[in-house]
Amino acid sequence: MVFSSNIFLLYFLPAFLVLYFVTPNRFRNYTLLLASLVFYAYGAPDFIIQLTASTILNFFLVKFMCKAEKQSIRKLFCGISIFVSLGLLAYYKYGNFTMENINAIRGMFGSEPIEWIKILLPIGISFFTFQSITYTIDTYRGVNEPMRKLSDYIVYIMMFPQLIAGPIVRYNEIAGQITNRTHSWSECLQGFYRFVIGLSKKILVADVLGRWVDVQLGGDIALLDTGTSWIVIAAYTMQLYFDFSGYSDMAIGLGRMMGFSFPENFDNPYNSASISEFWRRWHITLGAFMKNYLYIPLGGNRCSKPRMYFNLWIVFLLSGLWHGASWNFVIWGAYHGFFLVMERLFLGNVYKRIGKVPSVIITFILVMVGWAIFRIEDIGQCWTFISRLFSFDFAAVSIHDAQFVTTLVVALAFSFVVLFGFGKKMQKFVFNTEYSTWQHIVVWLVAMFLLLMSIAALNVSSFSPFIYFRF
Amino acid sequence: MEKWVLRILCILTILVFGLIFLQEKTHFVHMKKLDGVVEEVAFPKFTMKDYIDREYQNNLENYSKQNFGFREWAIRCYNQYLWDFYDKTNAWGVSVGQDNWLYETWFVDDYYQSRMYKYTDDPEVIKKNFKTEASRLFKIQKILEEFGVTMFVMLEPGKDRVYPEHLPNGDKYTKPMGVKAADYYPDLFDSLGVNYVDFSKYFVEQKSKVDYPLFPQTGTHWSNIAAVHSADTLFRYMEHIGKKNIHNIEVGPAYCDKTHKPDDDLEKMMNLVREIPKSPSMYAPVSVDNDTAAEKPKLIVIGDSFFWNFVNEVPLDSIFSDYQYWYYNSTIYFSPNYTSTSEIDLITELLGADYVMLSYCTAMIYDLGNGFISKALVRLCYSDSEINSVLNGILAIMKNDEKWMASLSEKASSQGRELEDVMLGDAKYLLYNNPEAYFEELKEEGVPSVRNKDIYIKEIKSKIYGSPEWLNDVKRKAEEWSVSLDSAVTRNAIWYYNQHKPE
Repeated sequence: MVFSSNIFLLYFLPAFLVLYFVTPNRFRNYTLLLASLVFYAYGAPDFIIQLTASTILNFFLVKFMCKAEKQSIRKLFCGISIFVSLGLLAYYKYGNFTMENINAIRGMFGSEPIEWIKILLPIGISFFTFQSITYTIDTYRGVNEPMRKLSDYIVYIMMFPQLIAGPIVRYNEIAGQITNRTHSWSECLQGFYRFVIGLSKKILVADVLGRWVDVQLGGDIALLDTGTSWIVIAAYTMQLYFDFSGYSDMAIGLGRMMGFSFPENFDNPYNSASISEFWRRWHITLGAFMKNYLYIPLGGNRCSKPRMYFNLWIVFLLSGLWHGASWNFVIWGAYHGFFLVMERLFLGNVYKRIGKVPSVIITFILVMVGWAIFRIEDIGQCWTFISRLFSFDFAAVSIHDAQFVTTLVVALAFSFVVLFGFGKKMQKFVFNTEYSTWQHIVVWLVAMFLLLMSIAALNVSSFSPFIYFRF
Repeated sequence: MEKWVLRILCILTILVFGLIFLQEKTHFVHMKKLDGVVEEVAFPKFTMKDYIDREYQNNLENYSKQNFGFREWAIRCYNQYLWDFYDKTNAWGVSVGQDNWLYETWFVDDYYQSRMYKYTDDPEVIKKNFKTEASRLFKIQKILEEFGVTMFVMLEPGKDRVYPEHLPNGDKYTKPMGVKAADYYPDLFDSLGVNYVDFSKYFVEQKSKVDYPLFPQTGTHWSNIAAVHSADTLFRYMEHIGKKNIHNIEVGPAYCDKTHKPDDDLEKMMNLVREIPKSPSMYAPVSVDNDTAAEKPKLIVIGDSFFWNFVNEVPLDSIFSDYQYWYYNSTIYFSPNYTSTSEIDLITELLGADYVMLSYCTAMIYDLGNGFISKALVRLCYSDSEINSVLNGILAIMKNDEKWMASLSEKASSQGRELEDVMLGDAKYLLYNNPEAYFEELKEEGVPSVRNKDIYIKEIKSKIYGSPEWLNDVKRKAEEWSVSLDSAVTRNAIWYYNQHKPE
């Protein structure tokens, strides 16, 4: 089930909210647990048993790990727990990719391909794997006590708001809230507003841009002129941001309705003045995970410079692969890793000299080119597209879709408005302010309007009637 | 902050969802239905297999999209927003032109870039196909003439050709113009002698001469008033080529009225809240003359949706004894016996008619006949046994080809059909798509030398039964040969056919 669907918006969510708030406080985690199981069972029926079983297994592995007195036994349980989590991820996410590559190599040597049954990717596996790992490692490191109740642990891993697309909530950030959190009408409303902002970003912005981008990239890429190619990649850049950050907003909003405070996942990433800064603002929880659970264990900054550059590369190659099992994601990771290393070598100093605005522009262009690698899976096609970007073959750009143009302009404006003072104030008002009663009423009306618009837009795109049946 | 306000807002939020749900279940608010045709999704039945395959979830989502409460309002309001802010519509196949004019997308496509590109990029290939189709048409026309049936083509006008000044911008069309069927066919028809009436050319000529709009601003077909004037011209043309005296219509004085169905069919499909501002349309009353000597022939129309204007505005019942509308050569309207062309005996229906009209507009004439032409030609020239023999030959080739059989099996399983059914369907497709490849005589330039003898034998038999003298003679022979009367009649009819068969 996805948030931007009728089943979620019109049936699941209202039913859940009613049920959740009529349930006495001490039983609310059970309601959340039940809803999360239903949510996942609906969207990934063939994986719910494995997911639940692996979650239960991990709970007990960590429990045994904490009870063990010998460090070697603790390490063993910790290793088994991580192995189980990563094993599932490796099998489901990278099984097909591995077999395709093995067969490609076999093909190069004239061998017959190995036959295998394609593995379906269970939704959310990348996110709950990382959450399981944070639980194991945080507990192993003694940052937090393990959960007492299995049901609470399942709630942490499978909680439906962040199960599908994050944010990756590290165990130490939420441990206290699972067992002890407060609910208030104000928080509930603020959560609702945040949810609606996310839904609108997804449906009213990202989907509109995405439809146009799909049409352009679905045609012959070689025929695109330079101007159109830049508009395509700018639109995709906005689509991706509004889609992903919209989803995070929805998750954070849903969490807030239930009294949780999930970490922020985006902080105006396109205002970054370097790739390093971009990764502190884009998918923040993934960056934090990679830093804490991969980069630092590899040695982090406390090693020789060549080793540090190597560590950075490894982290970004794996980050790329985490985003998808395909070579273009690996190249995308390497691309970002390359610029991170360059920034440490000399580019960072160049940025300092040229000032913030030029640095933001350069970084934005680098990020956009990166998104081309991210979006176009076929390496040859991707290269064709990137060469169109820099072919300087400008033709008169004519886009007749006024909705697309308006949406792109609005998306760009919202992405960069925070560079200015009034933009910062606006953002603070929307996301952080404790509203007065009148402000609540106004914002509620706006939120309701956006919610109904989003529901209408979601359904209009599927209602495209014929005048008459032709055949 | 006053807590009770926050509490009320929270409760109101849930209430909004509750109202949507209540409306879905009870329809307590009456709402104007949405226009246009969509494939309806039934409430899915839960099965474990569908659930595991996510089929159930997809169907449930699609069902909800068609049935959630206040859906009509939601869709109309969003469509109005798209229209007001972006001049955009979500209706399938509708293009927004200049000055709030609407066009069906086929016509815009064909105006800027021939629709031949949906078949081929090579103009010579498409010209060859058009020539083949026109030649087949001529052959059918000539064979049907032998049975007193008049066949002709009515080329309906396209809004793009008559009102190009309101068309949307054509920047997105990058290919050369290509060969347009509506321009190429009339020349072919002239050179071959195919009967046709060209309303496309006529409308362009008349545009500046008439004082009524030939097409409505927000509709796809000819305006009602233009359609009734065209009907008048059509009936006179039919009298001329069929050499029959049929009833004519009288078109009364034109009057202005609010645009109504079907002159606003494209606008209706956009499902807006408010009407698009436009000038009132013109309409005219139609009556049929009192000519007592006029015949009431039987008409078969094979064509696109333009003929609906005739059906709706012209009293066809008073002009024709019987008329059938084979919509895109698929669904049959106004026949008491049939609903689909797959159910009929094509030859019986064709020979029972006085007129057969292929009625296609400029953007649809690329599919002239929608498969009718080659099928009719084969059926008029060859008996069922001869056709079956060719089909069996194709089936035998299929069975001996492993790859072909594998792809047919895959097709059968993906479409949930029997393999035999798929094989026969594909064999028929091959035969009727290129009948000249299977029947030598059809390659001949002029009218084929062969005929479906079943047709003639059937006709001779009915002549024998209709002639008492001839029937007595056959009765005597039946006694002599000790066979049934019908069997003797058939034998006599075959003998007679062999003696008199057409050269």
